[in-house]
Amino acid sequence: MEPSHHLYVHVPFCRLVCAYCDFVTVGGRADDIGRYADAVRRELELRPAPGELRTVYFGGGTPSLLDGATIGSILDAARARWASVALDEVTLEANPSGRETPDWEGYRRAGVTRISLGVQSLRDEELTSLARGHTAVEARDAFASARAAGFADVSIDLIYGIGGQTLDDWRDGLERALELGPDHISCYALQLALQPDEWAAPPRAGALRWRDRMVRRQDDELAGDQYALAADLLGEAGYAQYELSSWARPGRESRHNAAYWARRPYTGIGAGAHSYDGVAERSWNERDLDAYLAGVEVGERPIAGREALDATTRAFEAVALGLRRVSGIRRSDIAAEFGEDPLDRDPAAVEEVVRAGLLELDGDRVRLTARGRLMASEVLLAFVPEAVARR
Amino acid sequence: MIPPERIRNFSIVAHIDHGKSTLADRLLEVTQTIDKRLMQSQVLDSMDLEREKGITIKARAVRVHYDAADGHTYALNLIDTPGHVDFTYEVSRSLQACEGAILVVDATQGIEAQTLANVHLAMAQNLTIIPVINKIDLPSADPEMVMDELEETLAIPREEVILASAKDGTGIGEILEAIVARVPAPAHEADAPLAALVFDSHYDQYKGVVAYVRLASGVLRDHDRIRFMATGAESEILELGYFRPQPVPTKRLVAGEVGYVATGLKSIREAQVGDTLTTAAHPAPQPLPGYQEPLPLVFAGIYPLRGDDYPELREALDKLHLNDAGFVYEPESSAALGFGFRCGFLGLLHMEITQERLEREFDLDLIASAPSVEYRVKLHHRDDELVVDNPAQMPGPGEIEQISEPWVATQVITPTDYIGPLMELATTRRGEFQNMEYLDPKRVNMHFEMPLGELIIDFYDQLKSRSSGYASLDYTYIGYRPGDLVKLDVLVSGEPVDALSLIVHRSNAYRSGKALVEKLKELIPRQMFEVPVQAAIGSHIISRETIRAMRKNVLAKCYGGDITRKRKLLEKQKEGKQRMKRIGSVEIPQEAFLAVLRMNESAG
Ligand SMILES: Nc1nc2c(ncn2[C@@H]2O[C@H](COP(=O)(O)OP(=O)(O)O)[C@@H](O)[C@H]2O)c(=O)[nH]1
Ligand code: SF4
Ligand SMILES: [Mg+2]
Repeated sequence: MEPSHHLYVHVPFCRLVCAYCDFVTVGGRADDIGRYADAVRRELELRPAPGELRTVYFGGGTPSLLDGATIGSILDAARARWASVALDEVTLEANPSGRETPDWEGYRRAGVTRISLGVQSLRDEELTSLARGHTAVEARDAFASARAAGFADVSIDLIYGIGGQTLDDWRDGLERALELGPDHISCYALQLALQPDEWAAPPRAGALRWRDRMVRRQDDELAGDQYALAADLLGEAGYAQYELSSWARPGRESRHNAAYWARRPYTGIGAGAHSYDGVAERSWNERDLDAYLAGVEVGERPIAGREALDATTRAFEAVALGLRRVSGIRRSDIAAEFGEDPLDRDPAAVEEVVRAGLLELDGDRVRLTARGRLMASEVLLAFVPEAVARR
Repeated sequence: MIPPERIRNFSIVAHIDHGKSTLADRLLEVTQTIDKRLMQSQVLDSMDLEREKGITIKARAVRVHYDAADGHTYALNLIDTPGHVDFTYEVSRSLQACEGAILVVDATQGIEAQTLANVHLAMAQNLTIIPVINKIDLPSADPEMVMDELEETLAIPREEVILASAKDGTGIGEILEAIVARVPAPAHEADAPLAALVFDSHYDQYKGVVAYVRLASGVLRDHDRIRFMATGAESEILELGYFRPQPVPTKRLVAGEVGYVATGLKSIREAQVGDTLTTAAHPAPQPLPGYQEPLPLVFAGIYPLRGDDYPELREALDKLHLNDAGFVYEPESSAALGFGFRCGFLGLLHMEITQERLEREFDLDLIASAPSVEYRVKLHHRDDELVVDNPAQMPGPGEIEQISEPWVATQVITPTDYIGPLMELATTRRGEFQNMEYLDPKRVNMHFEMPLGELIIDFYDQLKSRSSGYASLDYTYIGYRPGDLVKLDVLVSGEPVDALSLIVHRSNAYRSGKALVEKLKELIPRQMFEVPVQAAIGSHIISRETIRAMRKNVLAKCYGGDITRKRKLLEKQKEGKQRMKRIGSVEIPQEAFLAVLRMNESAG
């Protein structure tokens, strides 16, 4: 059997660029959507198509700004490019909007099987304070339309840790979300304190002040309580947590994301998209839309950077990605692959996170505790290789 | 050659910023010792640091040729003295090399604490005082008021006072004439054995120790074998000369003259300020009076910010030590700060300057503990005293019978408006008021005795801020006195943080402990565990705060397989962690330490 392969297609366009957004996005460039879709198809031609294509993910940005025909043409191009195709999941991220209704029917026809809806909140005051361009009613309508178009697999995103959002507000939001009956729910903490690095979105006018004000109203303690509450409520409602921020009804876990945690190879197409060869190389495209377009249009993959992973780094990634899953990692798996028990690297540091109640050792299994999930970075620091940190 | 009757040796004494360096520049310029075009301002302040801080650290001597009104040419030796309290001893040795002193007083400020301290030193050496009121060009100048003060406090008749502006040159000619007319020529017993006072010295990479000397008697020839009488060090002279202001080698120096001697000696400790230089062949029967070993009064731990820099720090300290007899150091280690050195300084300014030189000249990033004094500790059932200059090393309260600490006599000169606030400041620092005299109807000189330990903790800054900058301070060491002192420990997660220990008076312990603990709570980032922060005297906890456990540190969303970015962010976090200091299992960022140490300097 061919090894599985996965495809990510980035669609950077957004109608409104959110102040908290750290992704590769552009606003006010809707006129370039057609040109971009051409470029994406063209890039597909330029990239190797190894293995068997199993999942496709249209992420953004706002892929639902593309119509069904365009999405279909990209999927067709992918199907044509891969010699072996056995798609069992095609996800498309959509944003609710009162202005432009996503082309639900068209996506269905194109072969999209799963919708990830950027609801963020079902409470208008929260949507306002996030400065999202939609209302709670519009979010519900979008969800209903997706269902009506026949999507059996719909996920929604929710945000907690919003300044001013109380624990009761969050409970209320979660209850409203459960009323919709999604198949999958992702809960993300509003994260504003990312280090400015080479991947950070360039600061946008107004966004910095918004962030500043918001950060001052955030409270980690409360966010911790909100996260714990989500785990309780969603668990009771029959959604099992399978990853740091993801809950699903049985069998509705995201397969595409699972491929990331399992370090499967994937090809990232589009501005700023990342790729992994499944072994030792990660690479990423130009994130600037014009640079990306110009590159593809002269017939080259507009690659911005690549890194070769040494064995130590790969072993660390195996732990870091594996621990994102609620099921955690098996020491024996890592030892078999890399010849080293991950707990041996810095036993004192590991012992400390265990003692702090963040990490659980259960024979061969190593997993984050419920409290440890919100402290995943702190735990992972115990596994970051010395040499890498010093570099 | 200029005969000894036409030599004049003099210094300029002044409170800081009253214009000593500017006046010296003018004198050199008028006598064409240096070309105006080539002149950097403040030639005598040779180190960069001095120029920036405007403080003269090293005394130096410059020979000036002056064609006086009487038609003769005179050799004037200007001996520059350090202008700060920390260097009182060096000032007094420089003055001992002179027959006269120009007393500079700022026409807008009047007499200040160091004016008095310095002029008293000059009078103690029986020097002729030439009073100069400087900065009369300024609109706010009030020379009449200053003349009143001089008359009142120092019994200097107004007829003797010269009004000058070192800035625009007014009065400079008059000052030069006064030096010639009023300052006596040096005694010049050229036939007696050589006795020369070392009033300054520095270490030169090529010439070894260079001693600045004033010959009291005898003759020094350029190949004499010399001996330093206090230390016994001997050497052949490598070079003999004087400064104009650049060094000018000469064949001989005779009694009354001032010059330098390059000795080739390897350590400045062999040719200390105040020692007497003589010849090995015909030594002087006895040394000149007044020699003292330099006495470090203020101590602090100095640590490299990065442990890797330890060898560089050691090397830098070695070099400084060669050149600064008042500076002492020995290795120490701290659980919190790693390996470093306990350093002793003549005073606070000396400490500051030394730290800055280390950071600048040697390009080192340092972390310094709060300054401390040397305590003498009497233990139960023991006769000898323990000397403790690092609070962390203070024995437990149960073992101690008594702690004594150094005291100083301070004088504070201030406009009468600030008497109240300054009195209060001194009293909260355990100052004991002695008396107060009026310099004029609007200004007083207050005398206190207080523990040096209280003075080095931010007292000067407080003095300035409570007097809108008007008050000035001078202090001299007077001796040890017993005190009700306790060691205050800071515990993080139950572990004492040695670098943060303090010795405080029992009555201040609670306040200091609370302030420290609150500050630490604010500065230590949340950890995986709840972290108690406590202040304690022995086993008795006097203050406690708790840093709650960290709740959230996660990179939740992972879009498009952006694994590299997330990993790099983690690597950065880890690097940050590695730069932190670990106390038990608690990680404390360097900045938090620095902030608390800085606060120790101010809160005591
Ligand atoms: N207006 C005016 N300023 C002066 C005069 N003499 C010195 N200054 C200024 O006063 C400040 C302190 O002078 P400085 O010579 O460094 O004082 P020192 O600390 O006694 O050596 C400097 O800014 C000088 O430029 C003067 O006669 N008139
Ligand atoms: S809609 Fe989503 S991708 Fe677009 S700017 Fe907002 S958060 Fe970013
Ligand atoms: Mg000066």
